[in-house]
Amino acid sequence: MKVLRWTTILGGAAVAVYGAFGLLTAPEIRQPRQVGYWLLGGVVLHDLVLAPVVFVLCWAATRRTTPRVRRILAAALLVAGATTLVAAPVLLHGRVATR
Amino acid sequence: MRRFPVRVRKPIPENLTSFLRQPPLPRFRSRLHDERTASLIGTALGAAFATAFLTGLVSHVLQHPPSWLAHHLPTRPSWGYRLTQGLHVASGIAAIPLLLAKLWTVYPKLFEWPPLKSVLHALERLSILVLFSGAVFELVTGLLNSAQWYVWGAQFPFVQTHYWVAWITVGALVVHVGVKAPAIARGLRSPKKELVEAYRADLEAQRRGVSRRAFITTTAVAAGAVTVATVGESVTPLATVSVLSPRDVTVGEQRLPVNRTAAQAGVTRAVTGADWRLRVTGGARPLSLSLDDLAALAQTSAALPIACVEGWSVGAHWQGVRIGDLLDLAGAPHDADIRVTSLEKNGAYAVMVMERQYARDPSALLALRLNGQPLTLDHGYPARIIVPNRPGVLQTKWVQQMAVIA
Repeated sequence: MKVLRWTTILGGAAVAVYGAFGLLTAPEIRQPRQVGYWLLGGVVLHDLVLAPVVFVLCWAATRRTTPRVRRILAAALLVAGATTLVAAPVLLHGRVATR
Repeated sequence: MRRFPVRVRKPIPENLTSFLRQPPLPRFRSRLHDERTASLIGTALGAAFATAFLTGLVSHVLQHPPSWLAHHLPTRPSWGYRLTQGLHVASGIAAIPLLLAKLWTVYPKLFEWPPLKSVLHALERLSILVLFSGAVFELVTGLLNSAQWYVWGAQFPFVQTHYWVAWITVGALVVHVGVKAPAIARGLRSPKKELVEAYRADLEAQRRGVSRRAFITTTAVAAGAVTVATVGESVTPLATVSVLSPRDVTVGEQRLPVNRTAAQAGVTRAVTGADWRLRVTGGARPLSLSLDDLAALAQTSAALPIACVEGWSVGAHWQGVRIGDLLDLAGAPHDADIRVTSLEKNGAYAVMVMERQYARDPSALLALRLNGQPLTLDHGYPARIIVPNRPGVLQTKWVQQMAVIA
């Protein structure tokens, strides 16, 4: 079991290294640094902006609402929030419909 | 003797040492930040990522086949690429709410104290950083690309970057599964029988408002909602329901969307007029055929979809000359690949290589008509390629030459 686990871990690491090597050596990708900024940008946006906002909302909700209302609020936040994020390109940039 | 006052060092106040030992970190009181919730949502998220990765590989191989595989790519089922690319985009979109829910569940771990316990622990946290940043990157760039909104401009090319970051992300995902295997196994066991602690936690969560069941159900509803809201761009009966799909597939002349217009491709009426000829070169009998010549040859009908790499796909009825018939007429050997050249000026796909199995498929056409009418200029007039089970970018429009490659 331990062998299987370590094989999985090392195999996964090898796949990730293969991807990193490809990213750094692909002739079409001239500025891997820019990709790095984008990769870290997503982490920063989630961990320092989106998540704190959501947790502050959750904290406020637990202080001011009854469990029944809380359940509905949580469901509305998750469904509406996810749908808004998915729709963001369409809302901000419009649907693709040439002709 | 004079006695000097002895200066006694004041002890550091207790609360300051404890501050240095552990700064005030946010505390998370919901009982849903546990192994079971993380395992359940993580399993669904892992399935979505595995689907997106495998279908993405299919798309990559079809577009850039390695030489050892190029002649073994199947032409059937004709809707194969429509299915895999539809799944690719749909699983990526469904993964967005799943990833958000998963991140909510495990967010408290960001504030673990001490942040690094050992070298192995540091490596594990690094693998999670890689997984997390790669996953967000893939979902964000994929979603934006499906809407053809290239906000990254010239910073990186989408195709190669999305492809290589996918390998990094999946590698980190496999590492994560390996590291967390015991926790996942615990989390997926029935809580009533074996995870008494998790069951108690859920009862507590229920009392406070959101039970695990409610949270998981809501996550599933969110994933279903974003899927239904977008999947109509490939499951066309749902096109009128899917109001948030990046592509509105109900719009398009001849009942088929146009990805790239003639104007965008730099193709004008002047070069597609009466002087236009299709040249078939490299065979024993080189051909130069006008549109009337082509229309006088045996016509074949085929029902084949256009399936775009951006995820939309629409079925259509095509009519034209079999590519195999044209190659026979030009005296091309049966096992030859062909290189197809378009009139288009600016585009990465102006020249396309078609392997012999596609060229010789009985429903592979040099199409002249679409859904009962002659092609419009934007759909590739005078003649375009349509073959089964290939990405839309390889269904070359405004064809001017088919060259037999030895």
